[in-house]
Amino acid sequence: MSEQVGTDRALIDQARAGDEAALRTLIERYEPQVAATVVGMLGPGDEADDVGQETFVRFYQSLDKFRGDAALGTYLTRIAINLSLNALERRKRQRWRFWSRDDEQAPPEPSVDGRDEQAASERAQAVQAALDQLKPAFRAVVVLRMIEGYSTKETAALLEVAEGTVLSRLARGMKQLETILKDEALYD
Amino acid sequence: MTDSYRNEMLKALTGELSASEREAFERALADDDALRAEWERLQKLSGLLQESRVDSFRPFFATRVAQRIKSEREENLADALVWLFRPLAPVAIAVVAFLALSNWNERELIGDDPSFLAAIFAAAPATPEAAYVLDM
Repeated sequence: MSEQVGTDRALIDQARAGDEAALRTLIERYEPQVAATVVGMLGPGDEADDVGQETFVRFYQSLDKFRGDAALGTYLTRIAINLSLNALERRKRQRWRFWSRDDEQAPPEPSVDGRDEQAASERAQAVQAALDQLKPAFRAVVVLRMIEGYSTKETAALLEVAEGTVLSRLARGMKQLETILKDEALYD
Repeated sequence: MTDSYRNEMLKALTGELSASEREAFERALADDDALRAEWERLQKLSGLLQESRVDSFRPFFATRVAQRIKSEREENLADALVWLFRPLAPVAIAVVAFLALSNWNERELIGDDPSFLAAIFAAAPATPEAAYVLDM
């Protein structure tokens, strides 16, 4: 981990000096972490891709200000979660204006045949649809704690809320997920 | 199930219990069937969430980000040039107006009765004679 931090610093210095290859390496290195956050928050699609790109653009624009107080992954996750929450707010406003039944995503029926890969993909889609039904504040905690694996303390710092708030939101979010997934027969 | 037990379970799930807390939690699990069933459900849900993790965007993501950064940098350069030259715009307009006015005042130098545009640009009329004079 500390070795990666070292190479991150070197790559950041090179990117600051205009080295495009170094910037590209950083993007490729942190794409999985940013994707897990953004897709967990928004679901897969154009919007998530756009927010993912914007996360790295914002990082690039703040390269000169990045002092390395936080690990780069945490710094990028903070940008990604804030941009995702903004996107959810925009989505809510747009749905209020242009609501249509087509916007409602019906979760897929769970697979009962033996094809593991397809069944896993369907389960993942059903979980994503269930996450989509949580309030953004709960969803952010579930994504950061349960999918990204941040500690309660780190999640509280990322979302700028108290640790107690993280725990209560996580408990309520997980309870709601259980209820939704029970209805989808994915969970008993 | 109380909130504190649920919080303990969530902490246990993500490895945030101390050794003594973990020990107490495991004892409670061994003694309480309902708690154990809840713990198993929570572990299953955690597994489903982990399985749903997506580790990439669409293909060629890094290339698309690099292109976007490049195009934004070019736009920023154009904006910077506009910002740099904007204060000069009133001076440039004043100079052009001054030249146009002085040309208009001296319009007789470019021949008889020039058109308005020819006068302010001090442009000689494009005639074969004028071309011949220039060629000389």
